[in-house]
Amino acid sequence: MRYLTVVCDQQCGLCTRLGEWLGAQPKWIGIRLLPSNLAADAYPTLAPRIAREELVVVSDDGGVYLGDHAWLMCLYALKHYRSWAKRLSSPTLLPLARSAFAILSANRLKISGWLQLKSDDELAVQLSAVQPPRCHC
Amino acid sequence: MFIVYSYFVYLAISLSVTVWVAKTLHRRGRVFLVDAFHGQQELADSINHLLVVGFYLINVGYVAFALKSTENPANLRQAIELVSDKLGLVLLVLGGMHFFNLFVFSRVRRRAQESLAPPPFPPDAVLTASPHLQGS
Repeated sequence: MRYLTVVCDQQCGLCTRLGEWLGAQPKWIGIRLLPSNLAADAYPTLAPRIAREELVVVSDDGGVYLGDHAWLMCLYALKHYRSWAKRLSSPTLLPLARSAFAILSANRLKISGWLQLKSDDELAVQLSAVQPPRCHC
Repeated sequence: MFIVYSYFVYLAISLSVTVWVAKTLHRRGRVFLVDAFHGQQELADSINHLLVVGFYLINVGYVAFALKSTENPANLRQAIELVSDKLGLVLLVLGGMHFFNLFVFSRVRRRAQESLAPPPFPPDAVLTASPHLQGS
C-alpha cells in the first residue's frame, strides 16, 4: 500500500478539517484528497457508497474502507497516529472512531494523556463524552 | 606521588571500560539496527558507527573532565578510595549512556516495525476491474 485516496464531502466541517490536518501531518503512506462530487467519475462503481457515506477511503491496491474504518485508515497513514489506528480498531472502540478522530485532529496535548489509560472501556467512556460535529451527508 | 598513580589507574580502568562498553554496543547493537532499517546493512552500519563515535566522545570527555582532584592521598588506602570514588561516577555515567543507547535502538526499531505494519482490519470492499464491488 503506497497511498490512500480520501473521498470527503467538502461541505462537511469535520471533513474539511480532516483535509487540512492530514496535509500537515508526517505520513507513512501518501494521502490524496478527492472531493466527493468528483469521486463518482474516478470510482463509478463506488458512486452509491460515496453518496451514502460521510467518508470513503480507497487504497491504491483497491481496498475500500467505509465508515469507522475510513476514519481509522486516515490515522493509519500518519506517522504519529498509526498506533492509534490499531488501538481504536478494537470492537469496543471502533464505533467511537469518528469521535476519536475529531479529538485527535483538534487537540493533541489532551489526548496524549489518555494514552495512559489502561483499558479500552476507560477510553470508550472518554470518547463517548465527545460530540463531534455531524455532517449532513 | 600517590595522586599521580591514582590518576594513571583511574585513566587506565575508565578508558578500558569505555572501550569494552563501546565495542559491546557496536557488536550487539548492529542486529537491532539492521532489523530497524529493513535489512539495509550499509545504512545500519553507518548509524551504528556514528552512535559509537558519539558514545566515545561523551564518555572519554567525561573521564578527562572528571580526572582532576583536589584531594591529595597520603597513603594507599586514600588513593584506592579516591580512584574508587571517581570510577564509580564514570561507571554510572557509562551505564546511563548505555541504557540511553538501548532506548535509541529500541525506539528506532519500533518505529520501523510500525511503518511496515499492515492495516489493523481488512478492507470493507475491494475495487476490481468488474463494475461490481466485492466484499460486504
